[in-house]
This record gives sequence, C-alpha cells and structure tokens, in this order.
Amino acid sequence: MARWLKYLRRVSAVLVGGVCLLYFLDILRILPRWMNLVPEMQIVPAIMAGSAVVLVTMGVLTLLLGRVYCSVVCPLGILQDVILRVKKWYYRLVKKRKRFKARYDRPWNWVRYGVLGAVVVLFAVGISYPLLLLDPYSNFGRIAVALVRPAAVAGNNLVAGWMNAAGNYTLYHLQQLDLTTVVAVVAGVVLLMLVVMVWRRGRLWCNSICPVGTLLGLISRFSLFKVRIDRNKCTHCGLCASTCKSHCMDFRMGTVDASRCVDCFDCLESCTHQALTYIPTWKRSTGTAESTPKLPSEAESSAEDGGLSSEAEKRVNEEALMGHNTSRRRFLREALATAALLPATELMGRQARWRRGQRAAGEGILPMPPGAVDRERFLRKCTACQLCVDHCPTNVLKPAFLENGLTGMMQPYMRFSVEKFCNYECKVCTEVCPNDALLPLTLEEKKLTRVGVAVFHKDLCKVFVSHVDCGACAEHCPTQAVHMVPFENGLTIPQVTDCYCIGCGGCESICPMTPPAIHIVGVDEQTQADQPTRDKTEVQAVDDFGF
Amino acid sequence: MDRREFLKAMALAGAAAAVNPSGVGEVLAQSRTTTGGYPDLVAIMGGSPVQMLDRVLSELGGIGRFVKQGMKVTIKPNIGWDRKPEMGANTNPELVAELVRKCLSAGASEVLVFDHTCNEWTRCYQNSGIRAAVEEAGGKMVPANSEEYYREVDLPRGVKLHKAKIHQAILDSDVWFNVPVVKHHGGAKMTISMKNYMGIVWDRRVFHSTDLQQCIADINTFSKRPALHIVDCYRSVFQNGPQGKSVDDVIMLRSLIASADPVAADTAALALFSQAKPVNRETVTHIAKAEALKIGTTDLQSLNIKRIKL
Repeated sequence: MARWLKYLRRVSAVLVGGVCLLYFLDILRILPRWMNLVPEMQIVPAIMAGSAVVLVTMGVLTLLLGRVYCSVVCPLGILQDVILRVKKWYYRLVKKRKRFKARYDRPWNWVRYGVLGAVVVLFAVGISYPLLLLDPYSNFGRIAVALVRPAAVAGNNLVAGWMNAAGNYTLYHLQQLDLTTVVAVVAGVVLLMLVVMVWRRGRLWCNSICPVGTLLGLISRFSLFKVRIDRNKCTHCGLCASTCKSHCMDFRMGTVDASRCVDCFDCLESCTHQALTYIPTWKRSTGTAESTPKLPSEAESSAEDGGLSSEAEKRVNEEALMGHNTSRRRFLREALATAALLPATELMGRQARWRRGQRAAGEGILPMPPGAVDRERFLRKCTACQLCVDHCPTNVLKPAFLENGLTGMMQPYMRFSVEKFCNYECKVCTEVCPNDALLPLTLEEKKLTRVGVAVFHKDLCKVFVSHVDCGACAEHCPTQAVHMVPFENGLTIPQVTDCYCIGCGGCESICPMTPPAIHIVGVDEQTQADQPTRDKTEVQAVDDFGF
Repeated sequence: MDRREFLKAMALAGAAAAVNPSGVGEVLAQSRTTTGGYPDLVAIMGGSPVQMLDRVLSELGGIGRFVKQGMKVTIKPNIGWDRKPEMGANTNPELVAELVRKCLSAGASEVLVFDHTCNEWTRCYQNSGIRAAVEEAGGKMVPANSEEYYREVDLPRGVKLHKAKIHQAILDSDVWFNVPVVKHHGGAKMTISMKNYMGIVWDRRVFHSTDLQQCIADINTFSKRPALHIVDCYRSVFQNGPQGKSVDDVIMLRSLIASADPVAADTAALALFSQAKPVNRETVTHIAKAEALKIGTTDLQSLNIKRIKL
C-alpha cells in the first residue's frame, strides 16, 4: 500500500501541477476553461471568493487525510517537490550519494504562528497585502508569468519564425507581456528562497512561512489518517527521516509532527522494519505514538510502554519541558505576535487613507479591470496571481508598480497604448479570476461596465491643431460615446457623450497625438453606463446603382 | 506589355503550345496592361455574394485572367473589427471564401488572407466568420499582429507618406486582391477600396498623425497594385461607422463592384451608398487626392462600365 500511495500522490501532483503550469503558459489561449478549476480550488482564492464548497472540501480532506493539499493541490508545493527532485538527481549523479542525511528539525513555531497570526489579523481589519505576498498559489502564478512565460513566448517566436518561413501559420509571433519589474523581482526572490530552503531544509517554506500550510497544520494535528511510527518495531535508524521532505520525523523519539507532515508518503516504504503506518487513529496499535509531542506524564507512560532507550526518554522529557506546542503557550505566543503587529496595521491603514485623499484630489486614478466593482474591494480581494494579465488577449492589463499605492503593487490595472485597449466583446479576465476580485460578468453586463470615462482635450486634437481629418478615436469607440461632430470646412471633430462611455480606452490607444488628446480617467467605483441607443434612421431602399 | 510580362507570356505560350497548340493565342491575349475588351468596372445587384462574384468574374474574363497556374495569391479583406458578419463591419465571409475557391480552381499554389486588424486579431479573424470560411475553402489565414511580418517599401509618388511597412504576404505574392466593404467612417468619412489599404501597413497611427486623407491617397501609390478591387456592397454600415453599434446601423445594398481602378471603384461604391445615405464626395477628400496622384479616375463616364441586375 505504501508504494501505491506514493505513486498516487505523484501522479495527482503531476496532473494538477501540470494543468496549472500549462494554464499559466497558455500563450496561444487555446486551452479549455475547465482548467481554471485548479486556480479555483486553491484555498486563498476560495477564501477571497467565499467559495464554501472548496473550503469545506479542503478542510474535510485535511481532517481526514492530513495535508495532502500541500502535496497535490498547491502548485507551489508541487514546485518545491520538483526542486527536491532536481536535488535528488544532483546527489545521485554528481555527488554519487543515494540518500540524504537523516534529519529532524524543530518547528519554527514563533515564525509560523507569528506569520499566520499577522496575516489573519491584518486580513480581518481589511488589509490583505501580506496575504497577497504569501499566498502560495499567487506566488506560483507570479513565478510562472514573470519567469517562465517569457521563455515560452521566446520559444514560440523562434519556432513560429521557422514555421512561417515554411508557409505554415499555425504558430505566430507574440509580444512579450509588458510586466512591471516588481513582479519579476518578487517572483525571483521567492523562487530563490524556495530553492535555498528546499535544498537545505525541505518544506521549510510550507512549514514556517506559508500561512496556508500553517493553517492546515493546525487542522492536520487532528486528522484521522496520520503517518505514525510503531515504537515496538522502530530501531531509531533514521531511514524514514532521510526521506522526509518536511524534516518532521523525530526518529530518535519515534514521533511524526503531523502539523508539518505534507503526506508525501515517501517515508512509508523506506522502513526496513515495517514500523511506519498510515492508518486511522482508531486503529492505534500498542506502541504507536501520537504524532503531537507528549506532555511529560503521557510521554513517560508511552516511554514505559514502548521501552524507549534512556537517551530518547531524556529527549522526550526535555522537549516536553520546553513546552512544545502546548496549546496555552501557543495561544500566548500568537497573541503576543499579533500585538506586535498592531502598530504595522495602524501604519498601513494610515497609508490607505492617504491614498484615498490623493485620489479625491483627482490624481492618477487608474482604471481597474471590469468586474472589480470598487477599488477597496478589489485591492482587498486580488492577490496578484497575474492570471488575468496572462490571459488578457490585448495585453491591456498590466501589474501596477506604485500606481495603485504601496499596497496595490502587482495588482492589475488597465494601461492603454498602441493596440492595447479593452476589447468590447471580451470578458476573459472576469472569467479566469479565481478570487472573484473580478466578478464574473455576462457579456451584456461587461459591455456596460464603466471602468473609466474618456476626457477630450480639444486644444490637443489633430483636427483642431492641423485642420485635417482624423477621427481615429471615434472609429475605435464601440458605443459611439466618442463620435464626430461638424467642425470647420467640412471637417469633423470628436465629442464625448459621457453616459455611454465605458472607458475601454480604444480612443486613447489610437490617438496619434502625444500626449493623447483623449484619455481615460479611471473610476473608484465601477457603475453601469447607459445602453447605447439604437439609431433608427429611415433610409431609402436601394434598387439602382446610382451611377 | 513590358519585357518581363512579355517573357512570362512567351514562356506560358511555349508551355501551352506544347500541351494544346490552340491555346497559344489565348495566353498571349491575356495581358494585364490592357483590358482586352473587358469592362473597366462591373457593378452587379440583387444576388448572393457568391452569385454576384461568380458573374462579375465571368464578365471580367474569368479568374484565369488574373490567376495563373502556380501563382501565390493574397487576398486582403476588411477584418478590422471583432464583430459578427450581420454587423457589416467586416467583408462578407462567403465572398472572401468564394474568391479563395476561384483562385484555387485557377491553379493558385496558395491563397493567403490577412488584415492588420483594429481589435484583437484572433477574435476578429474568428468572429468575422472569415477564418472558418477561408480555411474551409482551402485558403490560409496569415497573422498580421507583429512587426516581423512587414517590410519597408518606398512610396516615391507619395506627397506626405514616403515609405511604409507593408505586409510580406502582399510583397511576396504573385497577384493580390483588395476586397473591402463599403462603410460610413467617422474619420475618413467613407471607407471603401483605398481606405482598406490601411490594413496592409504596420504603422497606421502615422496616417492619423500626419494627414489621414493624404496618407490614404499616398499609400495607394504603392507600385504593386492589386489585380482587382472587389468592393463588398452586400451589407453596409451607413451610420456610426466603421464599427456600427447595432444591426440598425446596417443597410442591405446587395451589390458588388469590381474594378482594377480603386478611384473609380470608390466613386461608384460611394454613388451607390449615397442613394441610401447621401454623402458628398468632396468631403471624402482622399478620393480627389488619389485622382490628383493619377491613381485612377472619378470620371465614370469615361469608363466602360457593365451594370447587371440579377
């Protein structure tokens, strides 16, 4: 069974991770929308979207089986397993060593509960930026979009060049995304941290930094199925611990820290004495230790039962005396960590208020993607996974640097430039957003959703300045909110009827003037524009050529 | 008939003589520099796009007059907008597909179709219905979304536009067809054959930033002229052009106009359109500017015009 579990885990991880990566690298936009399920079943997006189905499913799954989520659902967890695999190959091929050293690390409780506490408290008061930075799925998205996608596009363009030269146009040239450097920097730093951490300490990120991992760890302490060491059979050889990517198997003591075990099942078949089991709690055989470390009394009794060596016994007592994970101490610790973060909360709140004040003055209001509803909601719900940026057919979505304020960094906004504006008939961003930071809109709703309003400066307009025809803006306006009205000498000049403008930016993107004579001012609250009128005009039926 | 054409004709005649001696005279008669008794402009009304194209081409001597065995053909319809066919914003997909079939039946080695779209190109190709129709007919849709696909060409006769990057599908073709749709246009007043040239160039913004109407005339001085301008006048956006807001902006003209002279084709199409929605040709200044550059004539009286009602 042990082998079967491991392979099941691997196959599921390859499937889920593969779908997720491919979906982020869908540069030709040909993959089916059901693949969006992988982003949607991630825990942080589900929290943001209020998806009870996902949260309950993942909660029950963890309560039953432990943190399988971290091994087969979370793409960042799967990525770390890939890094670990590279390390294994490196050891086998270069260092000619088959096995790692057996190693047990104590949990970094201050760090993991501190981070979780801070993230939860700040989120509760409406600041989700720490979660944006730490959400494993969004970090995976940023790594895929900022670090892997450019290579995919370059590869596509290379092959497209050859194919096009041979008269085949199945592939075609693509533009690289206009990403803000900050996304690449953040993704690069996180990837580097992951590589270093995985290389030295296995799943240290998941067990100390990742708030989702810590949260699931709190549940998996009580899970039904757990990896356990049968102390009657255990010889404390450490073979199992040498396979453990979480470094959570205390082989000297014969315990497994279920709060850190990610259910990779690598250890199960490593034991030459069949001392490792993955069975429900009720089937506890004599000598099987609880996975959470014991209080002194319990530990003593189990030491008697299992006949631990005096050395191991001493260690058990020592750990117990240090108050490992006793709930009262843990509570105090978390409370302390939380209290320490209150000043930070205050600071960030102050910053947000400052931004609002600045916007009230009409400074640099950027259009948000359709479905964002209002800015506060959007900034709270978006975790900057870049999925919408990645899938936008016109590449008009761009991750912000400081345009959205300090706490809006990497969240998307619309930036209009040549051939980059929101396509009237498209709502892809609202379809893919797993957080519902962009609400799913029907096409009819999207076509009326106002993300900004066009402002026309007549004195900058080509028609006004040079007395020639232009009208590029009106030509690109799908609702004819921008339309041409008579000017001088048979010329026509643009005019904006605000109520029909949805701020798609077609006008701004094509305006030949620098700076553009027409530009979009974003709104903080997305409202509905008026339905474009249908102009019923009586026209003469044509039944002759007229020439 | 210049030297190159003469040599080509001789080579073809030689080949024809080897296969079918009576075909020699036919090949020699098909010189493109003369209309050889064929009308200068054909206008047709009252049929489906396919029927009308079929008739127009047979009036003009058949597709074989323009497309020879082994030729690489490029077709440039208007696919500028992410709009469905019934919105009339793009060239009729059946018309384009039928032209593809005709070219292939004349022995074209390949038929490429492209447009430098205004909206996102894959959606335009898709939703215009043109991709599906062309591929079913055996043609190839060619991307035009990247500067890589364009090469710079000099326009020595241009007044304000002296060079432009033109799509390689046109530059590398043996023969090409310009297949616009007649529409109202907020900027250029009307878009017909000559305005459709803006989809063969990479940088359109420079047209607007220089002088739109003059640049449209200038780009039409491009030396490699299409064999024919085939103007789709089946559906037409008569207001709120060039995209139109709804089907209420579309009128059915159920016509087709074809000519090798874009100025004449635009003059005729505008006259047809004006019956429904009057437009003063003087305001569509690129037509007069093109005539001044000797690209063609607005004097329809001077031309041999064939009018057909189905």
